[in-house]
Amino acid sequence: MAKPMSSSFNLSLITTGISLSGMLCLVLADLLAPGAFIVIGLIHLLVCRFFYARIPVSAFPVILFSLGVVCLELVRVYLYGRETMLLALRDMIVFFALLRLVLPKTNREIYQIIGISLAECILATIFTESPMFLIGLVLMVCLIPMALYYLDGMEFGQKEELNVPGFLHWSGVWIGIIIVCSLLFYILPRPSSTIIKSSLFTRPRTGFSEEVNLNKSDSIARDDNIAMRILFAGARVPDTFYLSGARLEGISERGFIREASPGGDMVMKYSSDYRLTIYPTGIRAKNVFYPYSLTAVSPRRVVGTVLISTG
Amino acid sequence: MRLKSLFRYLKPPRGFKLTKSGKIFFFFLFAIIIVAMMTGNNLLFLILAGMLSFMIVSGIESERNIRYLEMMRMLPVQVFAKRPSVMGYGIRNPRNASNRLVIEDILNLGLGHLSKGMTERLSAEVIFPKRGIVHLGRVKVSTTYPYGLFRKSIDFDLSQDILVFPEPIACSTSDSVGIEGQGKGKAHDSISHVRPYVPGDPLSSVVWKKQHLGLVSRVIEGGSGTNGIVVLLPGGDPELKLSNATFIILELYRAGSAFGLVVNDYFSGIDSGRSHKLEILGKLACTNGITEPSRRDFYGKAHVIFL
Repeated sequence: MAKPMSSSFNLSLITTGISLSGMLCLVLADLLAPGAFIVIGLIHLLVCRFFYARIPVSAFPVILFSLGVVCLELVRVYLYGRETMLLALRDMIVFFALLRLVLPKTNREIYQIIGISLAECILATIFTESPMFLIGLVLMVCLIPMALYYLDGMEFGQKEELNVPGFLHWSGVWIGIIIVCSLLFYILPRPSSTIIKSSLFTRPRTGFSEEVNLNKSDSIARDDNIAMRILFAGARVPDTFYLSGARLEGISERGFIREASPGGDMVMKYSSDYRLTIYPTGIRAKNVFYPYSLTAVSPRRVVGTVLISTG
Repeated sequence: MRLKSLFRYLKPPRGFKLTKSGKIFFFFLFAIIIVAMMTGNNLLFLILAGMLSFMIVSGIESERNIRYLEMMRMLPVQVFAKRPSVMGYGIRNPRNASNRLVIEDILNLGLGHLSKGMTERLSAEVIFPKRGIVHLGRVKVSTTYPYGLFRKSIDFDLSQDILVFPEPIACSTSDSVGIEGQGKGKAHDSISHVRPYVPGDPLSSVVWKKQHLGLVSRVIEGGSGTNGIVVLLPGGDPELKLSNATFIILELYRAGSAFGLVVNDYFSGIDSGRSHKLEILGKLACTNGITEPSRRDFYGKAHVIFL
């Protein structure tokens, strides 16, 4: 009969796995080069082999070295501008993650490694565009509960190889987390959801909204936030122009509907070579906004930024 | 009273307290909530959902760990003040196996694993500092299982009172008289019997066993002999007198002699039984102040030990 692996070995394997998952999240978000990831992966393998080895380094040189790295990154941001701030932040996180991993570890340090890896994952979410990022996330979801289980057992003082749950238990935990997570992901209200926007403490505001409630008859608060910026690139800025919103011309049992008007959606009096760039990107511009027509309007002035309020 | 019952009704069935790692976890959770609400980033909402679901799964596991637990407390028959007493606990889970349980009573006791349906017995040495009635409240069983993010607890209503007898402090029975008052109280040279050593015995009475390891104490026969009625008189340190009386009662009981107690207006009667001893020790535990004894008419019929 095969001897079960000891808790400390399991914990070392899981901890390095979590750390590597954090790095993988950075790679999948294009924040870390694959070559660097391979090198970091090799370091992780080495650390996993000698997880509890005590490197004879005192705290003072480590602190000095860390301060040096931080100063270098600050200088880099100062010299190359704010664009490098993200890279500096990434470098510092990776540096501290590796430092924590390499230096001697107790339970406290293992908790820190988990925290740093989670921070890497959160940072990666901001910049990732690839669905492959979910691989790193799923790895974290699988490994973090296992690490916390072992850490809690060790803090309780349980002996090694005692009551270590099997694969069946862990697969139950992972499936449970993934199912509940999927449900919560759809249930959790987003900033744009009606639950938040139509709460008791909010008043209808001017501006753009995905919600139209014709029954609501509160007073409307003026919203001075910038709703849209229109940039005219390489063309003469018109004296003035109009934007047409969504038009719902017909009505049915289901409510207002859009009917195709004879002769197309928009009436263009003049041919135009304007390129219209609209922010934010969440708005479906082709259905909502069109330069409707250009007419002479007085007083004449140059329009750079337009603030638009809609009731 | 209604408010109390309402409070009891509204009290959540489980205690919940965040551990240190749990606090850090919640810090991360709130940070992600804020950032997710500010940015509307869907992946952050995914991480948030993952963390919340992790908490939910953890809650389910910990609930399964402590649900259906059965608990009992086993009190020692005799508890003396300032002396270690062994308090026992029995714990059982008829439906599930449980892990990492902590029994929180006077002391905390840890239990790594409890098999399904098995009764685990644990014991702890406790020391009560004072004599008298001590109220033992609810017993709490808590667990950080499975991930150590929070400590969930369940209460068991095992409220009961325990009588703590005075600390037995060794003394000689020199101030004693025998039948018809013939004892002089000076007979320190005759040994009544020996018994196992108990902490607190005077060093002069301790002797080594010749054949076996361990200590024994000599019990010296006082002027009144080895049986009699302990009479507590006013004056001096009452706590010391109660402790000395406890010691003498225990000695007389061990020697198989008949004994009794007179304190204030209480007279126990004379007997040598165990229940008689416990009754007397209970009276000594609950005595508040010593006054002149009301009865003196039995002096002519029994040995009397004055304290």
